[in-house]
Amino acid sequence: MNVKKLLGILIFCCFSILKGQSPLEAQFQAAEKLFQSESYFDAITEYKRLLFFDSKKQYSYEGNFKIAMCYKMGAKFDDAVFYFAKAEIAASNPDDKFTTAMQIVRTNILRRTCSRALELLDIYGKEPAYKSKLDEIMYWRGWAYMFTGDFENAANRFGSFSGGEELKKLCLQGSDEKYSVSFAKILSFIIPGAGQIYTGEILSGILSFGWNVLFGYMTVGAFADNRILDGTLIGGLLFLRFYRGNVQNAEKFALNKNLDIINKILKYIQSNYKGIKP
Amino acid sequence: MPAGKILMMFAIFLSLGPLIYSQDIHSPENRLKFGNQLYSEKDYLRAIGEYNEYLKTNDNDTVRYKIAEAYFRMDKYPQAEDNYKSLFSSYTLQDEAKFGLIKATFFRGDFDFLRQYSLKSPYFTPKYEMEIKRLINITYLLDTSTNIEPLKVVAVFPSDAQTTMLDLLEMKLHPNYKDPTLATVLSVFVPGLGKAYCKQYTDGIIAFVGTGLSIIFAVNNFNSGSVFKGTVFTGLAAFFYGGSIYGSAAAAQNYNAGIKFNFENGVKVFLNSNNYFLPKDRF
Repeated sequence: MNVKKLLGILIFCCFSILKGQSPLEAQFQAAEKLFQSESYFDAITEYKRLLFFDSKKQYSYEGNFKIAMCYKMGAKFDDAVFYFAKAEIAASNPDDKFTTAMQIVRTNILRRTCSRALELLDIYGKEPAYKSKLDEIMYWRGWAYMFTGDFENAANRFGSFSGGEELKKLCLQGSDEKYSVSFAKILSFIIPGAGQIYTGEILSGILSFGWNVLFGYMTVGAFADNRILDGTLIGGLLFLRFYRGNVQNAEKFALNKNLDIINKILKYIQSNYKGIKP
Repeated sequence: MPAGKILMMFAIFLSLGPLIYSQDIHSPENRLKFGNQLYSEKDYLRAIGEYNEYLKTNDNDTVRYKIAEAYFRMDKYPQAEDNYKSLFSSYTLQDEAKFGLIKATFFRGDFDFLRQYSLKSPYFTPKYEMEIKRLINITYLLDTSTNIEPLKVVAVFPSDAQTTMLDLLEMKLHPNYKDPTLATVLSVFVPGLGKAYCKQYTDGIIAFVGTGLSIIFAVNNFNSGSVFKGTVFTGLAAFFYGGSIYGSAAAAQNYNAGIKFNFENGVKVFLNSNNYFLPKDRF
């Protein structure tokens, strides 16, 4: 073999080395492949291995972010928030920082710690660096309100920027369908059983009305006959007990029905809404 | 050496270099290091995976022991026991492995095995004799056995824990239970008395007053010719009376459940605060 040929081989080897992946890059690609194939448990192992051997912390952001995403996909929201927080610390540019911050908010919404999500959105909303991202902040604020069942506030947030019309419409629909808990209670204060009937519990409303009329009649009858002790005891022990129960019942029915409505709307959005979801 | 050969060797070296380096992350030693990191992060399932890969090419009792411990810490006691057993012939860790097996048996709740075999070969280890005896004696707090001599049971515990142990054993041997039958009978004769017997004094008074007043109103209404009202109050009296009897039996059962819960909770808090009197972990 002549020297020219050998030099050729040498140049090829050097080129292949230059072109080839570093071990950490190969490890990252292997982890990415597992992530893409939704093998989240194994993906977490490989991302953790990557971070462990990445002494220069080159992959600190990507590794932690992807671990958090894997945990989020597996509904391990506490672990997800922990790793998103690590990724947020490791993020080197404002865009990555913001993406991670929004992921923390979205995970909080999913684990139903919506008050925390709203608190974080308040903080991010005041950050000068995120001034251009206010629409996105508003978008997730709308989602946080929607998950708490506050459809009025959610609709206001979705209506404050373009692109939120579909969700605004759904929230307004939810707001219309929802029962007013205070109205149900007031109705039952005025006419026993009316609050229950308002929430669709007609039989319960009629029964409540019947018991209250019966014991009210007996109380009034006793007082009219000057049987003060009878009237006091029937009124105190029976009438007031049923009257109070009727108001509590109306409140309970309204709350339960509202919960059903919230879940129905969220379920609809889960399968039909095409935009970004938490 | 001719220049051609030198260049050839250099080329081969350059080609193999990245290959050797790229395998480095998954080398047995690195798997062990990574496994230890996962173990310290309490990510035990992944740590076990790394340790098992390491053991494919190496034999290491410490690693085997850590696998057993990892299973133990994940509350996977049968797997922990199998791994502890595999170390019974270990030169360095056989005492820890034997005690580990006893520990796992205890937390799995196999108290019969613990009492029968933990002080006999091949399970017994003199190094942990006191800890084994303590675990055995703790079982008397946790199961239903009543044939216990409290002073003998507490003797193996540190002096500052003996008083609490004695109190707990006394609570176990002589629980202040209420008899549901007696509570029911008392309420049959005097409405609400069964509830008072179960220390539900307010409920007892309400049941007594409610039943009594309903009966009085029923009699008064019948006497004054109001049959409808008399019937309503009779129904109400029956409701209060029946409710008082049923409620007394339920109150006794609730009271007993409360006593049992408080006892079990007290035992749990006491044992957890003392880490079941187990020695400090080596790893």
